[in-house]
Amino acid sequence: MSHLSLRGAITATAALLIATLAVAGCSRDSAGLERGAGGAALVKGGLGAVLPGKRAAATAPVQAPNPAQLAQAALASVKGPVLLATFEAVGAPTVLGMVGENGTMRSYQTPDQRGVMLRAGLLAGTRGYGRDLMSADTDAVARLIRARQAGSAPRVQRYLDGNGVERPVPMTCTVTPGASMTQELAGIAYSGQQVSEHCEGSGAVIDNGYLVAADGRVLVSRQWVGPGLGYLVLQSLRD
Amino acid sequence: MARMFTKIGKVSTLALLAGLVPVGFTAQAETTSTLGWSLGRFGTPGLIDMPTAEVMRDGEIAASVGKAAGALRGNFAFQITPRVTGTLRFTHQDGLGLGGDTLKEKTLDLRWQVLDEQGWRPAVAIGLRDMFGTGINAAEYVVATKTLTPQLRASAGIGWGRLGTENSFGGGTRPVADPVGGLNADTWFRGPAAAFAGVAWQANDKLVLKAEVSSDAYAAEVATNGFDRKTSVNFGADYKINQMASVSAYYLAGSEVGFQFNFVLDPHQPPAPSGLEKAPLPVRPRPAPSADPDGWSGAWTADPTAAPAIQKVVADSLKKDGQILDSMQLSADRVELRLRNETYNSTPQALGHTARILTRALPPSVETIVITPVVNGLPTASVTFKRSDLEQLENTQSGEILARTVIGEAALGGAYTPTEGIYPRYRFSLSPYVEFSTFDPGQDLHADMGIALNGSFDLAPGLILSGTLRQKVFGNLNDQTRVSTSPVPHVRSDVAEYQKNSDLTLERLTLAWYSRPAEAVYSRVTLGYLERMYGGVSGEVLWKPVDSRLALGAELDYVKQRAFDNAFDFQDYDTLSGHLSAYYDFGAGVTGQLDVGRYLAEDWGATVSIDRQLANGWSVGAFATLTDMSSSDFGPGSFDKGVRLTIPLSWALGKPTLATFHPTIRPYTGDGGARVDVDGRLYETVRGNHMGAIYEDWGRFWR
Repeated sequence: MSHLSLRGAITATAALLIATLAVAGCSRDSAGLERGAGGAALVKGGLGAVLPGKRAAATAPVQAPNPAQLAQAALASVKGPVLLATFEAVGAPTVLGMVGENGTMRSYQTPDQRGVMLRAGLLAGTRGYGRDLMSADTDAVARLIRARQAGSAPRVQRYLDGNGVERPVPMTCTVTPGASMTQELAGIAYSGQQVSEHCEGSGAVIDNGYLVAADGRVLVSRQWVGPGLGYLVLQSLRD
Repeated sequence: MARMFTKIGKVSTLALLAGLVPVGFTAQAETTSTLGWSLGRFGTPGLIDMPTAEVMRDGEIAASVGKAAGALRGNFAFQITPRVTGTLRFTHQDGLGLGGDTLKEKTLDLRWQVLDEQGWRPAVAIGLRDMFGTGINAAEYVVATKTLTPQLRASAGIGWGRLGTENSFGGGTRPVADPVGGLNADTWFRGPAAAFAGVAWQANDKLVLKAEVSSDAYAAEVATNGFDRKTSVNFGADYKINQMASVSAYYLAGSEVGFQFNFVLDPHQPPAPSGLEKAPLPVRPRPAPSADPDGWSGAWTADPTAAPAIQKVVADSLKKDGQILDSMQLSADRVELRLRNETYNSTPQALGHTARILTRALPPSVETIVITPVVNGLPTASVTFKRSDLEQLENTQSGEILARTVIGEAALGGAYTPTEGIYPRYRFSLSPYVEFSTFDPGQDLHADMGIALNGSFDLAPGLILSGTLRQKVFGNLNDQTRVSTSPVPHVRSDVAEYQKNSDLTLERLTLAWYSRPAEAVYSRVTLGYLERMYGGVSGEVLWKPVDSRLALGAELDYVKQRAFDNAFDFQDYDTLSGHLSAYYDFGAGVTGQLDVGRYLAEDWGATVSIDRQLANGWSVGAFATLTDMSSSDFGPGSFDKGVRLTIPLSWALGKPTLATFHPTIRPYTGDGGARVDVDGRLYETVRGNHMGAIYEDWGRFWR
């Protein structure tokens, strides 16, 4: 094969491959792995980071569905324990079903595989949201909260910093029991005692609130996830 | 292990929180963030033309392009250590070149912050501006900077060279810099000096206003291109668009207006929130022995279909997780598997996902889990977990599981069952590319953009056929006029000849064979079109125990220079090149490398490199090569040196991917100290799965 025609053959083959890949979405793998981010995503992500308007658009709250309808639909379609979770900064409720239980820890995930972990009803971690809570030591405060008992106890929450190194945020928390009450949320009535938890430390000042049933289960709560994600409102639809 | 363990457990609080969005934090925490630094017209933290003693955050990189008073400057500033700032600059200045031509040069600044600001004490820095080159803009200075209020910062200093030209005092005459280039050490801090001062005021979150009294007389500009210097006072404004981008405007000498665009990358502050990915599957604790007696007793091993069925479940589950189960061996109480992580930039994250998947798939009697990450067919380490530890410690402080994890050498051989259908494997991907011309004195900067097609075939474990084809879409690299006049073999200086023929190029086409002949010993043989300028064969051996800070390597390359058209032909020049290398992991992500041997132009010498890698995958490094080639044969710059970066795409996007962007920036491309650029050298291939890197990144285990 002469040099020129070889070159021509390469050009034709390359053009064919490029066209095929462009149609197939930029990459092909016989092992069938989903490819991560490609060049297009980089451009999109990079521009999103640089152009001020783009980011705001990306995080703008979506039209919130009616929580009561969402709760009923979730209870009808998901088996086992179900949570309704709402990040205060976003506003839209999402449904999480339990995917694992390890001792007192329960792992819940949304249908698109974002995760919330609770240990004895207290937030133990989040996954897949970005700037996640990696882990939390809450045993001591959980005992007070579940017993609806006043007292003070330590709490540690951990995050990955920008370098990817795990950083603990230790705090001291004061637990104060409040009034007993019945409250309807998303069409479900919850009866229990209000318990508030005020924590300070490491520059953070947070106020968590819980509605605790007579048997110590946390029914509804508003818990601080971290500096990136803010507060999360959790409601147990089915325990 | 103890050293790393304490590091992970180290308490740092506000440091973490300062950079993140302050939700739920008190006002006190926020007021600690005061006036940040901003860039001056020379692309380093400064006022306008005058420098300050400010530093950027450690590891930060600032790129800026500005034009004012007939000078176009592109700057890359690196915070090399917490106290040392380096700046690489490309300058086009009207009328200041030889014979009234445009001055085109690339230069280097270094600044050392001798004292940081503490209490009443100001920060003090010593700096060298334009250490190399014509010396037209060269200056040296000592400057002090003091934060007066959280919004106001003042600087004052003394400058020499260009910064010692207005209202100067003392000093005799400054020696003239050698116009050919080289280090201008004989002129530093010589000649008249002058005082300068200025302030920066943070008007609001976005806007910093600056004013200075300049000690730069602009003598060359006034003489050649009619610069009208009405006053010594310059004004500037810096508007921050977001965390990364800002624009600056200047009013210089009462007569000239200038603009600058700044782009700052802080490796510690990803532009996207890290962790936008699928949540891992949780650990599934084993049932009580009474609930599954056969599973606990190991009686399941009697069923010959059990192990293949389990392997299939694990392989499918890993595939959904973006990983490949290479092979597995399973017994009643122990599983060993070889894993190809194709997704996570962090080995501990890949290990954490795999370990949890295994707790969901394995019969209860299996207590010991050994995971061996495999890269390019090389088993790089064996990481051993107790299943009961995984059950007990799920989603706790990551250091706890690390303390019970054993990292050792991967076993040689073993009765592994390969997963069906994973060989041969092919992959293709398209990606955009940008290529720049080399930065040469007196030359314009040219660039091409195009599409690269990358393909690879894994024919068998460790046997990989891969290549890259590139097609230019647009650009002007073919307009380059540079012709190498190097008196030595043109091993690199003909780069422009290759770049001119950049329509469709076969960048690389190689067959590589990786193997592990003994414990802690890795080998590679690569054959084919190794890189754009060379083809041939490259062989390498590396000794790197999994827990060793020290690694030793040897490489021998026989290469022939490729034709300029980047098809299949070769030119006449061929050579044998080889090196002995030592690598040392200093901890905290810092690695040093020393290569001694013969380079492509048959010059003998050594390369010293230092790289600093963060757990998030960022790496910044610098290298310098001294060989027996004379500095006049090498050309401007005297010897080969440069800066290399690795920016992981996962850092930019917050999504898991192995892709990286890794530019190498050389101030001058000469023929001395050049090595063949072969893909997949052994140290970079195995390092990420060895102890230092695994510990560094362990915080992602439960992620």
